Amino acid sequence: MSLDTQKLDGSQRQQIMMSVQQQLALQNAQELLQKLSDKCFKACVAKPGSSLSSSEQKCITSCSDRYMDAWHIVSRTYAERIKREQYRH
Amino acid sequence: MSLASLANDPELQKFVAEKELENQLTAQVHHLTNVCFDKCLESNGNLSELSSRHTTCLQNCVDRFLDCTTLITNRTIQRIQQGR
Repeated sequence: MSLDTQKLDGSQRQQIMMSVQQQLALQNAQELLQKLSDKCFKACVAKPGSSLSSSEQKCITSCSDRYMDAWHIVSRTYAERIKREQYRH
Repeated sequence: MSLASLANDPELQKFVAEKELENQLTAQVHHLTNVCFDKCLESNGNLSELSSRHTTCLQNCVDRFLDCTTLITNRTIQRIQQGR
């Protein structure tokens, strides 16, 4: 097996970094969507009918908005906690 | 471009390590939101906005959950050291 000593050039590296970034963003979005559906279906659809009623739709919309609000509050609180912990050591 | 060139690129290694850490932190936020949404909003779908009471609950929930994890970790280490 011969060792490939060729190095990455700047644009190759950029491409790889962007691709990784995009994949992680996609993964994050998918995770969020999954959580939203789980939570809001559970909260809003008591007995599944033949279609989503308008009240169920309204509930699902509010629910997903509130979940996103909660996500941002949790994210900020967590970041602040980490900062506090860092300064302790 | 080969796997060897990918692995030997220090800038890329640093980038990947940073992204992995970021990903872990984001995963933790997902988990905390999952737990605290249930605790604080009681799976209530129909809120038109989050009240200050809800916000405070979410903030407390994050901190208390992390305190809980720390306590359990320390306790577990203690038990291991005691040989139980």
